[in-house]
Amino acid sequence: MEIIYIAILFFGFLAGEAKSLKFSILSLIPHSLFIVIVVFIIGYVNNIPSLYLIAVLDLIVRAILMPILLLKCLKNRVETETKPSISHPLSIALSIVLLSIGYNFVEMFKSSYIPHVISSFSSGLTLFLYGFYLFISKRDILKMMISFFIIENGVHFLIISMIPRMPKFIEISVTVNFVVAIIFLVYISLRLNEIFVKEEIEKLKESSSQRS
Amino acid sequence: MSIELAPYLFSFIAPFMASLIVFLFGKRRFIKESVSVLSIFLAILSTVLCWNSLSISDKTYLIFGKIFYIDGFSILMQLMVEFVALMVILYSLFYIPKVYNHRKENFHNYYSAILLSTAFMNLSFIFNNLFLLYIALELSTIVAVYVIVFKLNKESLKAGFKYIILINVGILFSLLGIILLFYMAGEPVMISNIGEVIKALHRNIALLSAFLFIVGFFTKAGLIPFHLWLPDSYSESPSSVTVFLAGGVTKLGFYGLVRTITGFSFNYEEIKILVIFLASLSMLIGAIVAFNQRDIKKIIAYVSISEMGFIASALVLKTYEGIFGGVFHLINHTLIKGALFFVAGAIVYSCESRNIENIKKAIGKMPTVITTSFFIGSLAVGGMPLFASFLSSITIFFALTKEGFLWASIVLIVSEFINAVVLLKTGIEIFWNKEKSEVSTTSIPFLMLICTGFFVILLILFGIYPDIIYPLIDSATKGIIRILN
Repeated sequence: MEIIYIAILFFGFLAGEAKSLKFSILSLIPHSLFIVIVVFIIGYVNNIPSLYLIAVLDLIVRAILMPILLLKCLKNRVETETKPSISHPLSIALSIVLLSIGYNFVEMFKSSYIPHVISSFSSGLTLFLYGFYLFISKRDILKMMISFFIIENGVHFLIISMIPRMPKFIEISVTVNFVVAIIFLVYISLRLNEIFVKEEIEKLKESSSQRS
Repeated sequence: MSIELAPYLFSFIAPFMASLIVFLFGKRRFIKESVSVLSIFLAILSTVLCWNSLSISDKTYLIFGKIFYIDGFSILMQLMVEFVALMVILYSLFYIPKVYNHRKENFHNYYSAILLSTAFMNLSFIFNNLFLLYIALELSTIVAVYVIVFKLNKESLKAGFKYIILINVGILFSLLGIILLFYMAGEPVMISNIGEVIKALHRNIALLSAFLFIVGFFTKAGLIPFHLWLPDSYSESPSSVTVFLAGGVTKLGFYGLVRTITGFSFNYEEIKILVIFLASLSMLIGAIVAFNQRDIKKIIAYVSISEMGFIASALVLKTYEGIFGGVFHLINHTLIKGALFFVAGAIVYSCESRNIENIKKAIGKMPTVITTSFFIGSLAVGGMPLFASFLSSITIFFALTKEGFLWASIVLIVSEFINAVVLLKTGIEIFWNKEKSEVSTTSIPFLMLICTGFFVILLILFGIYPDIIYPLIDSATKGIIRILN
């Protein structure tokens, strides 16, 4: 199980730090697939059949629908990210430190304060913190959406870790909210891309008319 | 679920159904206008019915299983949001078709989004379970983005993106706080028992969850340092939507603050100090930054941030006076911002610009209602006597001083003064400038004038006869204190 959690963090790291936006979005697919596997395993080990439903929902929303929607945002724009506020090598180093130390620190917190909670807690909180770091360090609209996705996956894991005593309706509603938010973000992003393209075309026209 | 709950749920059902009807059939003539107004009236009726049930019974709250909890504060918030929605819809009838004519095919979606957001806000005010409160709160936030980006130009889209991503990430922190409370309590935390849960918490965990709630609900309310979304969203959205944001959407942040952070501040002095410190920062920085703006809506937006600092500082005080002042100012803030942003809307309507230099050149003779409303709004921001904001500010001032926060009271007075000066200076620049063409008279639709004037009348009425609103504020204050004690 520990290996799967590390794989989730690793693919989250790739999605956050890859310069190519397409590669970032594609990294979210294995990241989400591992989340689906974890939800299935937790459901099987703890004998909670309702988690199978949530795993299927995750498969549809997180592993299929979200990457498709995010890939749509690449339309009409360059596929490399806008320069982030923290330089790339430093950001990679910070991410590695945050993910490794963060994960261990959260594990310690969990074992001393809430030992009864399911193991996905540590991975969830680490993802949340890492997503937040990405959110404040990236300037690219699509990268910000990816970091929001990672934060939301972290919250999803945290909710999964308390699912035995929690109404499933709440988890499903939170997922629905997330989908609606992403749809609006994609809509805004696509509209912005269109405007940027129009502006570029106008600039080109102006410069060519000046030359002629 | 009890059958007696059904009439109270109409505050959600009516706008929700109306939103669907307007979305599907709103392109037909008069459908969007009539259905929207009717649904809001039905919602108000439902809330008044609820208030009536509460006042005739001995109880201070109505509880329906583990799902719904209604007290004076829920009713006050619902009434406020419904009133704002009604004013916004009426104002939009003339304002939107002229200023946003290029989107005329989508006007019905505009009304539908406002109704849907109102419905979810009303729902969040009556939920007992914190998780459900979060879900309704987030949905109302997300839906409101459609009306923020209604213009669909680059600036409004950027403002909309900032709004949705910052608020969503911000309120995920409050979800984290709710999750932490759940871990500690071992079951979903209800508003009706949150006071007991907080008292039973380990100190470090309590401080951590309070911090998470502060990040979440301060972001939603648009308080400094989590305010980054607010100035752009206020200035780039249609003026009617700005009133909706200031009077409804940000108030949800205060609702969350009262239901959670106030409880922590009752038990932990550190939380109270932290919130009052951040609120004082909002008061002062908001007022100072407003000075440098040349966009009329941004000026009012920063003044609004400053004023929201007053409310936040009062709502974490442990005394009846403190909470009473905070709740009263919550209402006054809605009225003042309603009047000021509607005036700004009328200016944009006639001058087609928000920039003060452009307005000075383009403005003609404005109707007296508009100029008077702006100056009354400015004086009310300064907490002048005769206006309701005088009573609430003075109550907050004394409550802060009584609890040992004299420095915060001084910051409050100084900020009020700066805010009033900024707005009066802007008003004089715009309405009494010499470049103004005296010949051209600007015609503003009558309904827009009525909506603006109505906010001002209420501001004066509550200032001269506070007894009218007193029972509702008293019930809200007692409701808040009852849960948290």
